[in-house]
Amino acid sequence: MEHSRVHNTNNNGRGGQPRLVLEVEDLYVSFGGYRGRTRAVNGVSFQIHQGEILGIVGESGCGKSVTALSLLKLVPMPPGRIDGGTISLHTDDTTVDVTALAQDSREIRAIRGRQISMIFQEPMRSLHPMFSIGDQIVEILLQHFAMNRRQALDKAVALLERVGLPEPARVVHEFPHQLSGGMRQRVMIAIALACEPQLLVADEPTTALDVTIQAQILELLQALQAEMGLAVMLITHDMGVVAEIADRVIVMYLGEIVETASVDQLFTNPQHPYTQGLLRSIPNWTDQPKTPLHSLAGAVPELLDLPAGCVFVERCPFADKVPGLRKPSLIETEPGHFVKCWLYTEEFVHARP
Amino acid sequence: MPDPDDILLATEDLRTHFAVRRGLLRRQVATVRAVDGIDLSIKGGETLGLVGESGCGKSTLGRTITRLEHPTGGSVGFRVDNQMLDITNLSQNHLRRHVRRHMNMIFQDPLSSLNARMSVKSVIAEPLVLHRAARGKELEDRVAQLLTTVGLQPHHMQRFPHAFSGGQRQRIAIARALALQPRFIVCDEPVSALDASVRAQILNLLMQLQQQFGLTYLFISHDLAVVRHVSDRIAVMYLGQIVERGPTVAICQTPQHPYTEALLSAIPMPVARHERRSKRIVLTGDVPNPASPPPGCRFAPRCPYRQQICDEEIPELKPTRQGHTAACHFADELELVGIGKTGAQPTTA
Ligand SMILES: Nc1ncnc2c1ncn2[C@@H]1O[C@H](COP(=O)(O)OP(=O)(O)OP(=O)(O)O)[C@@H](O)[C@H]1O
Ligand SMILES: Nc1ncnc2c1ncn2[C@@H]1O[C@H](COP(=O)(O)OP(=O)(O)O)[C@@H](O)[C@H]1O
Ligand code: SF4
Ligand code: SF4
Ligand SMILES: [Mg+2]
Ligand SMILES: [Mg+2]
Repeated sequence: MEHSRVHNTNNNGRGGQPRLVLEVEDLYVSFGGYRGRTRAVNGVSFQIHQGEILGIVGESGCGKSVTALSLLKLVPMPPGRIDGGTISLHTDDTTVDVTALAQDSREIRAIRGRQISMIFQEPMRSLHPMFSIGDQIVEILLQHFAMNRRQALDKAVALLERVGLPEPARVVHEFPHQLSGGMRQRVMIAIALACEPQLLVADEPTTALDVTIQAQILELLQALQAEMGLAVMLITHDMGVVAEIADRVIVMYLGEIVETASVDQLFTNPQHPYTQGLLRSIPNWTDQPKTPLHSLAGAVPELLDLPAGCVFVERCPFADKVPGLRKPSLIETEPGHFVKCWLYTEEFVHARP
Repeated sequence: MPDPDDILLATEDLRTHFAVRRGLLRRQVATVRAVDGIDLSIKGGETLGLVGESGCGKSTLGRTITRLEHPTGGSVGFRVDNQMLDITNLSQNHLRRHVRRHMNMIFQDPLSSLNARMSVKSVIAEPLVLHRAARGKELEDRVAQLLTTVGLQPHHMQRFPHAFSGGQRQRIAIARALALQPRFIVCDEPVSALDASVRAQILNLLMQLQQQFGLTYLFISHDLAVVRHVSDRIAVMYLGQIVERGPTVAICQTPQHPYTEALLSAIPMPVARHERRSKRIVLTGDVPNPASPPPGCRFAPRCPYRQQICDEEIPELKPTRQGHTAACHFADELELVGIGKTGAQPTTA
């Protein structure tokens, strides 16, 4: 892209390390309700570097979307509330704590789209049905850049072309309902990239799409990350999708990070009993069809009555071997591989399978 | 050829078309050929898996063979009392009295198919009451027994569906579907809305019930990994037609239709990088509009192996040398790549 501000060469981190884009530290988010507070995110910390795809996996309700929305101060407040932690966004010259910004402040609006962009599962939700695709992109460009309408429209066509839409000069004049789901998601990505953000947050971007279209979108995200040095936070419940395109993975359960590792570490050596159980419950291509699948007992409990100790204690096959009622903390078991489970402490190493 | 005595359900050139109407006068502007000439047969006690992308006609086919939808053409035969019965044009009244109790459906979103104001007991008892199959104490016993069968507790019958998790609600829906002891169940995306850790429980339950009661399933899903795990045979659908069918493992390991290969290739694998397939086919373009399917082979506009003949002649669905059935001019020539052939790893191309 012509005005690309973020380049791979733009590494001002130390020792050739990619630049740190975002740092979340000990984030807590909850929602008020008549049955009590829902503790959606409980002490989540992670970092995202330039040019990295960070996958966040977990089952529905485990706090993935709330974490993502927090980055842009988009959690509805009330009922939502940030109970603690910081979200530091590093730009070229400054560092901003997003949690400290007012929900509708000029500062946060300047960050949305310009520094961090977001795409959702259902693109129809974020596209305006009454405006042409071109108008919607032009609108955003004019907001953030000094250019005239003609230039903005040209840039819109270039963006649509970049995200692989056939006949971008025609699509630019069409309306959202005239496009297929896969095309709409490409348009959303084009809009998200319009202002050349540092970080793209993609919340289940392919969940509503067919598998052949999903493959197209994943390929596109990967290409963008490689070419533009974009940092991507990819949220999904699909272990296959993270394996396919993420560099690092965070596994969430009941509002907490239970394991985080490089994609290869996670899939060759899953350590948390939840991650292990989840991976084993996925039908395998070498299984004999019509044989029983390994399954985790029970269901994800409600966030209203969180267990006092380990979040996984109710379903964990090893719970009786360790003090499940005491909260474990994240420990590093190999470089870059962290797991939140008593089994990986010196004390309980003997109880490991 | 399967022994015709084993066949529980068979369709011949089955078609279900929908009129697309527009404007004040509701003029018909197009015809969606949702199901467009399907021949298939399902043997008693087997699971036929049906895969394909959104809008290709899977649900319409499921609804048509259970006669929730009236076919536009072709026929559906269903075995009742050891007799193949042509149910294509039976009246709803006749169906209700002689056929309905033998077939049932389970859907993706259990909450929407369960009436939120009915207790679990009424939800499960409803079909029994409608068919006057049981009442009073007997009815209650039957409901309790059904709940136990699907892994819930008899005391759950007093509660309301919204008080249950997604997996439990699907169990309730399954209990209801089993109430009249059907022989055939269409499972339409039964686990697609469920969390991964619960999905395996429901798949296990469905497989176990099949064993226990000799059930026959048409198992519809867009998820080929799931379909592979539960099916004896797989049929792949594209734009209202079956493009390939055959035994489960053969279809996955050595597909013979380019669309099957592309579907398999697009599946993201939950494995580390070094175990990854090296070749990946990313199809270009979208599924064409079922109101105006391409002439010739319907897959041609997206097919990486397309030749001139593909645009001109409709490939017939016919047996291949490897023993599948495929609708491709080059089914026997192409060497297509599947998944799961070599030992513990997904295939590398
Ligand atoms: N009642 C109807 N009236 C008009 N068109 C219909 C009707 N029902 C289905 N269709 C159309 O028929 C085609 C097949 O739909 P169907 O619901 O069978 O697809 P499907 O394979 O089950 O898709 P999905 O995976 O999204 O569930 C689609 O183009 C759909 O829009
Ligand atoms: N606007 C809201 N009001 C109340 N509760 C919410 C709201 N948004 C999310 N939650 C709750 O927060 C928890 C985490 O949700 P979410 O982050 O959306 O999960 P997921 O991991 O599926 O994206 C859930 O229990 C959800 O019900
Ligand atoms: S801490 Fe205990 S209960 Fe939690 S996952 Fe580890 S072994 Fe299981
Ligand atoms: S008939 Fe031609 S276009 Fe159709 S699937 Fe076969 S090779 Fe592809
Ligand atoms: Mg979500
Ligand atoms: Mg359907």
